[in-house]
Amino acid sequence: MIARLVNDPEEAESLMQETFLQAFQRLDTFRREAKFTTWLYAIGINLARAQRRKLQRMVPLSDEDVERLQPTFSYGMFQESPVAWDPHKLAVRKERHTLVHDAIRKLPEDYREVLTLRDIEEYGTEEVAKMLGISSGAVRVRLHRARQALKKLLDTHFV
Amino acid sequence: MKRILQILLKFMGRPTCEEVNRFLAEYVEGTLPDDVRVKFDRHLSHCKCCGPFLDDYRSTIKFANSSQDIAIPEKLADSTIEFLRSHLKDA
Repeated sequence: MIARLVNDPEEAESLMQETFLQAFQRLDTFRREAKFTTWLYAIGINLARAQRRKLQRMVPLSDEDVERLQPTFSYGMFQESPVAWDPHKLAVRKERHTLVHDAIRKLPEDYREVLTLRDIEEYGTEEVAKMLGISSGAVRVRLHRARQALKKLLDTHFV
Repeated sequence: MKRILQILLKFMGRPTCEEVNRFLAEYVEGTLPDDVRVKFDRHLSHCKCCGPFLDDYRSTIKFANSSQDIAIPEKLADSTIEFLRSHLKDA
């Protein structure tokens, strides 16, 4: 998970060690109401966030950008009819892999975390909520917006 | 036209595209109550906008899932195990 969040093997190595070290030092603060792995992930996520803030190598999209990537509605109907992706363009698997990977990296941190934990790591909504310290409702809303933003970013390549 | 359609859908107790979109994550997750899911199914099978949108929304999830199947580098795994061993020994 850390390797996915920071995208740099050396940084991931250092963060993974720091995560274990912090977990070991703070073992007495672990409450058994959460799973041990959830607690460990929460420590790792916080360290990855702090590290990313420090480095800020790539300027991700802002929350306003994510808002602009959401579909818009008028009187409850789509303002613009969505154009379906072209199956032929989707078929080029190798290129698709890179495009999707790069688009995920563009998402703001909050959105990338939720998408990584839910759609890539496949953790349940409740568990992700515990890891991130937010409500399940907030996880669902953030996830939906992240997916729609990602879909819109990919539209330019796949339509 | 859209305004009339919206009133009509409301009158018939059917969801609009916007309402379907708002709960799309729950629909995909399968956590919507049965009666709501049936209404969504009906809307999605007929709507020229929401049907294709849902297909691509699902593809987005699938592609995200398969885009990052990166293996932990061997060096990273080795050094982490080594790190844990040395610290557990010291404890």
